[in-house]
Amino acid sequence: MALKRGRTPHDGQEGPSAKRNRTSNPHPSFYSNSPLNFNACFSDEIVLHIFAYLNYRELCNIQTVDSHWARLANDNTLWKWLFLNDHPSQRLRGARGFSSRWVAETAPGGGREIKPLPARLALADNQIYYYPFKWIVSRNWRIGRCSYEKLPSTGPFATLGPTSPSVPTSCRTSRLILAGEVVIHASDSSQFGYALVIQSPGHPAFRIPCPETITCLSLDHSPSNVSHAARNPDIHVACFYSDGQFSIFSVPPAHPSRASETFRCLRPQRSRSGSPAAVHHAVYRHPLLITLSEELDLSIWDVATPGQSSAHPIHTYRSYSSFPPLSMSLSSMSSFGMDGETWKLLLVYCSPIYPSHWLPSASELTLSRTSLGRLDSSTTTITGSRKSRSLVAAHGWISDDQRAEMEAEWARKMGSVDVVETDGKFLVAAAGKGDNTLQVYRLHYRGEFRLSYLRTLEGHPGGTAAMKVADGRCVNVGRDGRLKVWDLEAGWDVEVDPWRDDSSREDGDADMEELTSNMADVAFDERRVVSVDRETGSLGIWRFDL
Amino acid sequence: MSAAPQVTLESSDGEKFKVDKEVAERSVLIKNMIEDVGESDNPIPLPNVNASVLKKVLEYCEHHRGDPLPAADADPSNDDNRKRATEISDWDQKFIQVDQEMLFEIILAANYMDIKPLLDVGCKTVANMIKGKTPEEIRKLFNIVNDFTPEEEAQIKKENEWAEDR
Repeated sequence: MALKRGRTPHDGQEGPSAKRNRTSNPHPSFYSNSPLNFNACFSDEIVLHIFAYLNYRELCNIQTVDSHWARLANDNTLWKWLFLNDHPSQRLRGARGFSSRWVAETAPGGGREIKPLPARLALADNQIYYYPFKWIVSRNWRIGRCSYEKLPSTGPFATLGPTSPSVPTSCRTSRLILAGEVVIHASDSSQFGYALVIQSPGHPAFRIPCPETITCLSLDHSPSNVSHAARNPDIHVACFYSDGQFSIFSVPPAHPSRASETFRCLRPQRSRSGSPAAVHHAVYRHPLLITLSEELDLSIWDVATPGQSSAHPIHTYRSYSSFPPLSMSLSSMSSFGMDGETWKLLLVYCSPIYPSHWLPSASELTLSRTSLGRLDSSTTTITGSRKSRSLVAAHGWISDDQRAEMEAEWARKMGSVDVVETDGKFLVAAAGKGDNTLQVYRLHYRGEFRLSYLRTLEGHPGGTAAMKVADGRCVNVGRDGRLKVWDLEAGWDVEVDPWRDDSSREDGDADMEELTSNMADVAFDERRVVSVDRETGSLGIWRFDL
Repeated sequence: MSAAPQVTLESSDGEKFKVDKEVAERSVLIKNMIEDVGESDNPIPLPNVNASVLKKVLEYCEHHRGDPLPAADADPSNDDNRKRATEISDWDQKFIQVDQEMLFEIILAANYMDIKPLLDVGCKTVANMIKGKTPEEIRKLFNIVNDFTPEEEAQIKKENEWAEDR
């Protein structure tokens, strides 16, 4: 008889899929008189089917039964099921590097790239896909299980603070970058001079002397820079100085001392008063660099040609309605192709509310390049701009619902805002001056571009020292040096007390004192949170990949 | 036209079972075979299943004859049976209360005959037997010889310590 599907009863005892069958035991017990033995009679496939009904604790427990069980209880596919089941929200899992994640056009997020966790993990592929490990890291985030390590200061940040007007402490620009295992941060002490400090595991901290105070650092987010095809690709960092100039450094992660300057812009933008305008915010997605000066002049640069001694901004825009604190997010809407490329720049900032309050607002700019090749003002244009405030003023007669909505919005106005951060989907605004609340808003792109209020979170009692949002995860370092993590999508939060670890408990009190600071920078990826204290220059690392 | 179509199944030890086609087709293996060769009076041989097990399997199929068939290629990652891991219906619970040898045989037969719901019930039952037991108890239960050296065992225990806290 001709069987189309090739499934004959004579195939063997295991039936249709024989891929994982153990060949060591072709005959189940009923062919032999040996007593029925679990290992002998079940194929790997069936054992995995059974193990799929066990939870992580049981899977760990049974690994000591014998080597066969140990192998199967560590099975990658099994843990992948477990991972997908226990961490159903993709955001909880953390993104791999900057790999783009697209939200379908029909989804509420609306056809755009969400800023993933700013990780760039130089991992072997087998580690990326090793689900037992991924499961543990996700769980550690969820329960706040981590180690805390404090790296020695690379020099006090003596010139920082209100005495140094060029460094925008009040704006909380980012001067700390986490790229895989590499930590890059700005150091400026009068004693040691201004420098870019690169710390890579296994290497001494490497300092690149800089001519001026560094006002802002920005990491290249372009896919070419984060491609997993190239192992350990160079890290590209744009470094902005208080005199308005900027450099781009290329850093090989394994050899920080071989870092080199690949680009230097010597022609700074001028502020309205004629003095050089220092850049306080920047987003870098090679070859596009977008900078925002302290006066909120937005400049778009092409930094494609390496070694170019001077660069001209392609466009400069001025805003009269945006106020710091502010943050930017740049995403590519299409990959390189013959029809050019489109980027969307999202700016979130504060808008004043009469008489002296603030509420977050967002603006979106669409940039298009019509053809491949050099970015310049003829081929790159801003093709769209839209803006939304969370406060919607109604005119004329309004319904009770509208009135209630307006009153609720009015009640949310903040006396001062310390940080505004966004990942493209959520906007988080941390109130300042004794108010420890964080307001979470959702950005809507489909149809009318708008902000909708989601909820208010309770921050650290002492207020926020630094905050970052990426991939639906909000990481907040309090002025008490503690860490709080929220998953904005799933709605959980966890507070991390690094001194819970017994090994560092002895000097815990001293550490606590030292870490109490007003200002910090924070950066995080899917495994670690790094924070640098702006006054002491000391670096704290929370590791979740235990 | 009056009677439901029937098929004959032959167990490994030569015993013949005449059952309704609808019942036999709970097994994807048999369903595919009938589709392939068409209906015939020849018995369908099941050389991997003996009479006592086949009888038991057919009892399950008979009881569940009206159930909706599971999707052909259900992905284990999204099928929700993990969520109701320990939930086994009362009838199935009673049905699967057999000695360990028969339980294993049923699982093997369900896997061979491709009866996913029965395979699930069997695997859940075994999983429930594993739950809450120490490795030593599991070895005794399933007749497994520990092939680890004490050092290896200690090493694995240490690696999995994280699962113990909280």
